[in-house]
Amino acid sequence: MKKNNWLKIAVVCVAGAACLSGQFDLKGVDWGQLGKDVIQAARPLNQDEEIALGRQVAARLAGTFGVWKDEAWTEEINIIGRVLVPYSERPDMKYRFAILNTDDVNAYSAPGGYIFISKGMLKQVESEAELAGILGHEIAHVANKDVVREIQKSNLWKTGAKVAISGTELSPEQQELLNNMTNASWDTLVVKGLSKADEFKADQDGTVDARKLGYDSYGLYYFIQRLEPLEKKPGEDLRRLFSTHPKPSERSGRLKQYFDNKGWGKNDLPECKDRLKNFKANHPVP
Amino acid sequence: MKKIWVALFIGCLLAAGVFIAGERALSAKEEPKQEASDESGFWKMFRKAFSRPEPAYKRPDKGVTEVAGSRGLEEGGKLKNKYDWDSVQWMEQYQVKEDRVKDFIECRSLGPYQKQGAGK
Repeated sequence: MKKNNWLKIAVVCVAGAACLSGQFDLKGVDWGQLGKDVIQAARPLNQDEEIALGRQVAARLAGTFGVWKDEAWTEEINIIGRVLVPYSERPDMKYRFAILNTDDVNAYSAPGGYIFISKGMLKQVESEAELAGILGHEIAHVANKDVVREIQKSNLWKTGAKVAISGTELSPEQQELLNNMTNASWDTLVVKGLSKADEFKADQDGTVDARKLGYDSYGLYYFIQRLEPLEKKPGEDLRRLFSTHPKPSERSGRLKQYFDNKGWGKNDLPECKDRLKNFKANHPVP
Repeated sequence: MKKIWVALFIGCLLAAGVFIAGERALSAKEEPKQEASDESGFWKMFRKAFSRPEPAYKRPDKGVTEVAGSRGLEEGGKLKNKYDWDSVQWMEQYQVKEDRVKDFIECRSLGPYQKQGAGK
């Protein structure tokens, strides 16, 4: 059939629909509500909803792995994390940092700025620049709304977007949506991982934030590079990290390429290796 | 051909009408993003981000949140399915003294104190 014929049919259909609509009482239509429904069906999660979701994911991470509430280390990661925030892409979000009581080498960023680093990861870091790079990476996931975007892409949100999650008392319907979104976020963070592109972007953004703060840009790169030899035979403590992130060799390769393009050399800014070494000597991670 | 354009025009008008009506109904405001460019901007941003009041805290019903099953638990078979709301509250209420932050970045020549142009 010719293209023109299809167009004619389409016009006839539109005209037919318009005629049929005359059969209904259009005066009774609440256009405001109709528009609201249409927009809400395509709306993104707002900040309050993101925090509500993040809080529930954070509670699950804390409940599953436990939180190591060591005074000195909690202050250390909170200071480094918080001074990075003004350089991030989303400084208007309130970020929180805590340590998961697990020997798994990993870090997680729940939506809404709830960021966790594991005790196992703290054992492995060798400089403040590395720590800043890792925290910067997690901040970047929140700033780029990586988990939130995954949720928004899902049918879960497309069908549930009309249910606004707000207020302190949630209805059963709201709570159910929140629980389902928590499960989906958990899957993304702990089981499947984010896309490779999101991880590479977070590596890059975290590095840039750490550099803007004044740390050696190669911090995160050094950390990832040390994981490369373990790629083929990861220990139990690295399995989850490797199953949810691209291969360390791919990550370090991408970062190196980025540094070369930018012309950033090694050690052009302080790494603060000795500072962290001293800190670790005074506050050993059990 | 004319008919198509007329139909398209009417369709666009309708869509715009619905959109505007919806926008009015929602009337949501978004805060503009700010950037930290200099020392005062850094601290302004820092204070703004960390002195904001916490959102109202409500612990969800235990029965409702703890029923959640997920592949994360089934796959590894090791992870517990527990929610620790006390730790989240502790995390939310955790404060760092501004003096400690200032000392930290000053003695490392970081952030607004750095002089090597790292922000470029």
